[in-house]
Amino acid sequence: MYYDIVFSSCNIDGSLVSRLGFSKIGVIPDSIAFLDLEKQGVGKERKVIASGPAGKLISAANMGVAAVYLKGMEADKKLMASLADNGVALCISLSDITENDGLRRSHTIFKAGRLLSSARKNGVDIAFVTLARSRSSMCSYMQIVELAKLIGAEESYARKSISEVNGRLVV
Amino acid sequence: MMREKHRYIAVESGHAVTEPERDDFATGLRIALMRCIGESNFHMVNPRVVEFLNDNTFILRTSLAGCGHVIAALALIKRIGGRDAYFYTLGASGTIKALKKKRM
Repeated sequence: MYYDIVFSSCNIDGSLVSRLGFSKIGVIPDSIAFLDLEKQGVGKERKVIASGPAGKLISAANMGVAAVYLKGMEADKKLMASLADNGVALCISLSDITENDGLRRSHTIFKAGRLLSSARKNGVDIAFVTLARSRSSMCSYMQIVELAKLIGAEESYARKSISEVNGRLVV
Repeated sequence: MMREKHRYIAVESGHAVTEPERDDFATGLRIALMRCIGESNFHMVNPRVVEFLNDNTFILRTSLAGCGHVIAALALIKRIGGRDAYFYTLGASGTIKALKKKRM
């Protein structure tokens, strides 16, 4: 049972979901709210992925969002502690890696690896999701597992993340 | 001599590859994979398009050890021969027969 989260601009259908090997794909904003904290505050939606800089994500974590997406992927100790205390998952967006190219992609992989390592040290749950905005950025579950391995996760950890952590956000 | 173990991957292409384009496409894909995997590792992975199932789906053969590299690389390729492209891996297996059965 694997899960992913994408934006509604991907126009996914049931056939694509099963071809890619997922049980379900969560769609933003249809089933999951995505809040850019630089533009808006946390509302009363049930499942929220908050996006923004570390400082704003700490207060969002305290307000009970389901997951956060850290722009720039800069690891922050206070944020990690806050996410661990509140049981909030950290989304690592794989489309940040697939949509870049060359040295920029290499740098993004490095930053994602550092963020993953910092999150795991602090006991934060990781959600490997594509957060794709177009079909070209979407991946099958096999590709997500391999990209997670590319940034330093073991296969068993990646699979557990895609099924359990992503499942909590999607189902 | 030990027989090399292969892995077969079913791949869906984001755009249709018609019959006359297939040889050029296969060459372009190998070049794009080499860029992602790196020249030094490419000979170990040795990916090859072995069969087209239809205009959008084909089977790629790799070495057993290089299968993961190819699956990750397929997520990173966004252009082939000056044309936008993207790929989804649909399944992997040790034989073509098992892979086709899995896809049915």
